[in-house]
Amino acid sequence: MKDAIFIMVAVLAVGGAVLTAASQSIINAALGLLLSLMSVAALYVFLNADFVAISQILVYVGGIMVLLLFSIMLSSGASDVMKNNPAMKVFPALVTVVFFIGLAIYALKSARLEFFQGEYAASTRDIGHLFLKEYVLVFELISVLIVVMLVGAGVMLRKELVRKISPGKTPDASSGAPGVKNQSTQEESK
Amino acid sequence: MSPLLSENPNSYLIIAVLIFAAGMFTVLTRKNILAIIMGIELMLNASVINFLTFSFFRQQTTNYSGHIFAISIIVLAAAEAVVALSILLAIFQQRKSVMTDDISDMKG
Repeated sequence: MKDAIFIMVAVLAVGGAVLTAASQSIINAALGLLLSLMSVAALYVFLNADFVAISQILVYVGGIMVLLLFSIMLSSGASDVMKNNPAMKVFPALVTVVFFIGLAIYALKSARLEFFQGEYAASTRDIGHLFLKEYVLVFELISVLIVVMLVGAGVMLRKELVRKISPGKTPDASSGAPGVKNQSTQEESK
Repeated sequence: MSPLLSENPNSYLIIAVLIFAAGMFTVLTRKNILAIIMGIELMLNASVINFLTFSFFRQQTTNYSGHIFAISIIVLAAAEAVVALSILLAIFQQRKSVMTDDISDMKG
């Protein structure tokens, strides 16, 4: 029974990844990524990582996927965003990937490690202890990273920066169409 | 070693290799920046599977250090996605394109 569920989850995870790699439509690729991420979260449960599984669903599925789909919708004004025309021929990429899989399987075959399975137990309490004792530096670095990320994303999308880089691209805002300007100032004041 | 597939570390590692290969294929064959970001996410996920596998199948007593790495990678992936997508939207505002061919020059 456990094995049946495991095989199902594994097939879904790999299948979603393959869908992401193979589908022409960018929306289908995003949905394949969603499927793969959720199945991988189920795999984490098999590995006694309940906290990481929930974090995966919260952060990836709740955050990153929404952000990705939002960006896809927002940038769909581009001419051919539905088609992902290949950057290089498929054959060289396939050769690279097959080489990589062969290398990894050879490494798996030749490694002589004796593994023992751990016990299933709740992990959240121990992760909290580790984060606040041994790995407190990692914890603080993650906090700094999140602050830098927020500031960086804010700076990147500042209006003045975008206008300064491309002064000629938006003639309506600079050369004074009064209705447009009033509308934008009203929106800003709100 | 246990006959069950779900209690054999190699099955997890093979899944991780397949997902990593799919991610690398995505990064290599796409021109759309959004698709490239998706491939990077897949590769990061495969690495998290590896960390958790080696954290679960081990010889010593219970130790959750692998989970610390996993959570750090998840946070890193979130930060990377946010910054990459904001750069992408800034590029799209000026160039009206998200293809890597159209943004090969640095100024212009």
